[in-house]
Formats: sequence, structure tokens, C-alpha cells
Amino acid sequence: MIMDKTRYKTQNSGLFHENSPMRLLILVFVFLISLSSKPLPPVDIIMELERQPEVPGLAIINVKVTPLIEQSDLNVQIELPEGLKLFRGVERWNGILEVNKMHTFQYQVYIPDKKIYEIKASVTLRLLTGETVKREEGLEIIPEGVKRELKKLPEKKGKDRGVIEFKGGDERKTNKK
Amino acid sequence: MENIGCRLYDSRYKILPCLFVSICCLLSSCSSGSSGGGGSSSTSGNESIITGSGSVTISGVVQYEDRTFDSTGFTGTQYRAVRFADIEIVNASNSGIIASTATDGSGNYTISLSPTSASVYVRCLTSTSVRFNNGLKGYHIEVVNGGSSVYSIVSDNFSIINPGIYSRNLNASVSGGAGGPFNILDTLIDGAEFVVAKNGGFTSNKLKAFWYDGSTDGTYFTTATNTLHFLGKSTDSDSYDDTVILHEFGHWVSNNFSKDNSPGGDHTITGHYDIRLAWSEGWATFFGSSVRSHSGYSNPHYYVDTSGGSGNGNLLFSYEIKTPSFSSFATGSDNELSVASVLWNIFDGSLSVGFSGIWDVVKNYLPSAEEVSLEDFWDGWFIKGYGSSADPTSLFLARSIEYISDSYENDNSSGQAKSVTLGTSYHHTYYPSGDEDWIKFDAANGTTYNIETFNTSNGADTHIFLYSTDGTTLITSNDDRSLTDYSSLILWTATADGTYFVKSMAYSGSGAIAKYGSYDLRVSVQ
Repeated sequence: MIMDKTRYKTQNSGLFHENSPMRLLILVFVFLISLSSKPLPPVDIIMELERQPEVPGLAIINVKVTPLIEQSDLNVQIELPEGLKLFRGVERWNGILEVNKMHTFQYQVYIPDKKIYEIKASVTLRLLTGETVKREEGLEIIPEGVKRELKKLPEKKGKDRGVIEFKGGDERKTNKK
Repeated sequence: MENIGCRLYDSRYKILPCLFVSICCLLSSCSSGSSGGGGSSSTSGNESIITGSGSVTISGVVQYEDRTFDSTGFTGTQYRAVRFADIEIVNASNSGIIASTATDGSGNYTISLSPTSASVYVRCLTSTSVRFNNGLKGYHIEVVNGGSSVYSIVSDNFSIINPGIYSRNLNASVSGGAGGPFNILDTLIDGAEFVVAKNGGFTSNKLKAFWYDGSTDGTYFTTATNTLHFLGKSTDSDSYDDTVILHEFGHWVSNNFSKDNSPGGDHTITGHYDIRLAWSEGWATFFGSSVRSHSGYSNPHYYVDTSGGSGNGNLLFSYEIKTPSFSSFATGSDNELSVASVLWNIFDGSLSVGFSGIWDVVKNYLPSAEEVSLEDFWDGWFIKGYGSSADPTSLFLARSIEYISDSYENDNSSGQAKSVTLGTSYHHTYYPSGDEDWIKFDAANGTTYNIETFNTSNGADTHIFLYSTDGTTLITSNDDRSLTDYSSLILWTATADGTYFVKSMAYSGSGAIAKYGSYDLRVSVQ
């Protein structure tokens, strides 16, 4: 059967029938807008909080790793900031994982107080040909009732735009003549 | 004026020209400072802009702390000139801008104005609007945060109530937080200068880059706003990843000077994708390396992505494109590393014919292509006449990109169909465009046969047709084996003994992308 590829890729839902405005919108989006992201190494990592932890109490963190290529070695590591304790889970795991399959590493981390902590995880993959690639991910634990205060940079109004000002004077080399 | 920019070891900045510029700047400052009155804007040569006049001259040099790197990650830091950036003299009490100018190629600035009782400070911004508006530079770059505010470094407040010469140097450090955006600016200036050198001019479209500390938005270029976006999150800030910055700038160049049909999305360097995406990403990496080569950096054919963490190392991954890393994966027109590698080897590898032919094809041929991919670059290379003196066939073949006729040609009609042995695979290519590959086989009444294409590569989207013993009566056909597999499969039971014909050709209906491609063809008894 000869099929129109553009058509059969979008014909599965009533939303996408030939004259649907939704279909037109999506076609415009697909054909006119594209995001070109940076190259990635052949391993995927996702870090998730299973549920909001009681504080003090245990946070359950899932690190989901998907190798996209055969490997001779794979290392999954979690890095805790000072003050946090790993209650359950392997801080550094080594082994080989099945390609294109998501593997979940679960960690239970004791959160002692109502502060914001950032936990990092990394996966390092060694290819059969010897090259090594790494990906890192971070997760902020924000206990209930704690507000994340965004770092406010000193900003002033410029000619036709805002201007963020950093101190940049070089005292060693600046002098008034 | 002390010119600390001369301490840079970068080969682009030589001591003597740097001293010369410094002396010129100082002379310029003195003469402007003594001329008095007026307050009008003027320019002095190509390297110095002096706005306003009067008996106060403020000058200095602006630098940022760069992070050096190689294929192992960060290796240290060095101070470098903040080039061609906007300088403003700001009234400290009401934030009003009293005068503006820009730094030169060595980071020097000088500005003359009338004495005033207001306390002022000097501000250097991550933008090049002054030089752009004065026509001294063809590019207008801005590095901004999520709210489109531009970054700056500022001096202390000081009084200019008395006539005289005031020196205010500025430094954007890594630890102070301003080094990153100034590095993005400087890297994009490298890119823009490269385009100007190769293209003879830039575009009036603003080159706007977003970066802010904590941004988890991703690193990407979007055609929606024609803007660049760089990660600022703690595990992967890209503000000092020059090759990543230039890769995204390569996409911007494609969008503003050529044509790009990439569907976008995540992509790994070892993966095989839509040939339009592979072209877009391979071009972007190659382009970034070309910029770094033009700017005189060592090992420009390396792509390096770090975590952005403090200190040396912090490598996430790196690869080279000349003799490509991950070599066994860097094959085909559907892999970005393979595409980057063939382009680099035309530019500076086994062919080494430079950038001008590549740019001619990219700028003047690709926009006429329907769905831009490496196929179109190949066509353009020959149509533009570069193929006769610089034939890239062998370096394409080294990456298993088979833009050549297969060994069974001519087999373009039922009359030329080649007899095949059941169960044996035959490797074919669709080349040149519109190529048909015909085979014939003997079938027995009541026997079921698998007629299939497989091992598709280089974007091959096969379409097979089974014809009766007369070679003209169509029995059945198949385009795609499944929704996600563009190889083809016909399961057919013969109803009479005879010799039957199979035609294979690249899918050419609506949504077709590749006109070339490689594949294996086989007929077997089920």
C-alpha cells in the first residue's frame, strides 16, 4: 500500500483530522519551529524525588539511567551535600547495564532540617572502544514550607534594557591621576 | 595607559600591535580631552570611539577571566580582553547614562566628557550595540539573562568634577559571577568575526544569547525567536564551554545565512537519526571547529563539554572530528559526528581546501534544496564545480557514505534486471537521484516468498514493487516495513511458476527526505 508519510504520521487521532485547526497548528509548529540542542553522550540520566519528604525524615530519590550504547563499564554515583546522610542505596555502583533499557537506582537520604539541599548524581560510561563519557544531573530537595529564594542580582534600568551589575573594579590597577 | 591585555598569550594578540593601539588610544584621549566644549559624538579610526568631548577623559582596559580547556576538561584560567563591548559612564545618583563608547580589540576604552558634579561609575556590558550602531562592526550581539537584562561589570563611584584623566580598569572574574556571560560574548565575537571574514559581512539580525545562573532551560538554538540559550544549572553550566557555544552559533548561522530543515530534538553523538538532523548538528559542530581554527586556538577539531564545575577537569565528554572519536559509530549521513568529520576533512583534513567552497555551497546552494541534508551538500559541491579539483568521494566512503553507484548497475529496468539467488543478500545504493534497482527471480506456484530490503543506511527509505512475469504488471508493493522502520517487506505467494521482477527505488512521495541511501536486497523462501 502506498501511503502519504506526512498523513499517516498524524492521522491516528480525531484531533488531527485533515481540516483540524489543531493539526494545522501542530504542522506549523513542527515545520516552522525547531529546537536544536547540544550533542549528548550516549547515556541518559533522570533524577526524581519519589515523594515530598517529611523533615526531619527520609527522601526517596530515583536515579534513572538508560545506556544508549554497549559499554565495558558503567558507574553510577550519588553525591550528597554536607549535612545529608545516605540511609539506603549504593553510593557508587559499577557494572554493565542493558542497552536502551531504563534502570532505576533508588536512594533513601536522611534530611535533617528544613533547608534546601542539592543532590547530584552522575553516570560514567566506558565504551567498548575505550572512550569515556559522563552525564550529571542535580535535584533540589525543597522541604514543605521552605521557599526557594532566587538569587537576586543587582539590576538597574539601562537606556532601553535592564542591566545586571557586578562589581568589576580592579583596585590594583585603577588609580586616579 | 597600562595595557594588561598584552599579557595574554593567545596568538591573536601580538605585543607590538597591542602597544601601538594603546599608544593611539592614549594620544586620542589626550587630544580629545584638551579640545574642550561641544559634547558631540565622534569616532577615531576603526579601533577607538570617543563620545562627547571636554576636559575629563576616562580610560581603562576591560578584561574577563577565561577558563582554558583541552580534551580533558578545564586546565586553568587566564585574563583576556573584553573586545568591542559597550561602555557606559553612569550617573551614580540617578543611573542616567552620561556617555557611552566601546572597547577596542584589546579591551581598551577611552571617553571624553565635560566635568560634572555628579558621582559617576564606568559600566562595561555584554553587548556590542555601540560599535554596531556606529557602523564599526556589522554584528550586534547581546548576552542576557532570562529577563533580557544585559550583564555588566562596574567600577567604583568616583567624582569627575575636576578636569583630568581618570583610569578605571574593569575585570569580570569567574568567582564574581560575571566571567561566564563575558566569555559567551567573546566566543560569539570569535564566531561573528569568522563569518565577517568568510562572508564579507554579517546580517543586521541581532545575535541574542540567554544565560543565567541556575537556568535549567537547556542549551539550544530556536528558530522561533532566532535566539541562543545556554544552560546555567549547577551540574552543567555551559558559560565556559566554548565549543558548545559555537555549536549553537553554527545553528544560528545556518538559520540566518542558509537553510536548515532539522526536526530538532535530543541527539547523541553515536546515534543515527533523520539525515536532516544529522546534517544540522554535524554542520554546527564543524562550524564551531572552523571558528576556533580561524581564531588560532590549538586542537580546534575537538568538541568539549564540561560540567562547568569549579577547578580543573570537570569533563563530561569530548570528541574529535578529524579522525573521529567513537569511530565505529561515526558512519553514514545520518550520524552527526560522521557529517562533521567529512566536512572537517574537506576543510582541513585529507582534502584541506579551506572554508570558502564549503561556505559557497552552504550559503548559495543549500537554500534551494527541499530538505537540507548532507546529500544536498554533496550535490552542491559538484554543481558548484568544486568536485573536479577536490573530489570528496574517498573521504565520504571512509565514513561509509556511499554516494556512488552500486556494482549491479545498470539495472534500471526490467530488461536490465539482475537474476538473484534465493536467500542471498545484494548490497545496493540509490545513486544517482531517481536510481531504480531491478532484480528477477524464479518462483514456484504455491511457494511463499519474503522480498525485503534491510540494513538500510545513509537515510535510505526504500520502496519495493513486485511485477509479474511480463515485467510491467504490478502485483503488489511496500513502502515501509512498519511505522518506525523505513525498510520494506513483501510477503507473497506465487500463483504460477515463472520469473518475476522486483523494482526497488527511494520513496519519493509526500514526506520523502532522502533521495540516496544504501541497503541490502534479498528474496527468500519463507
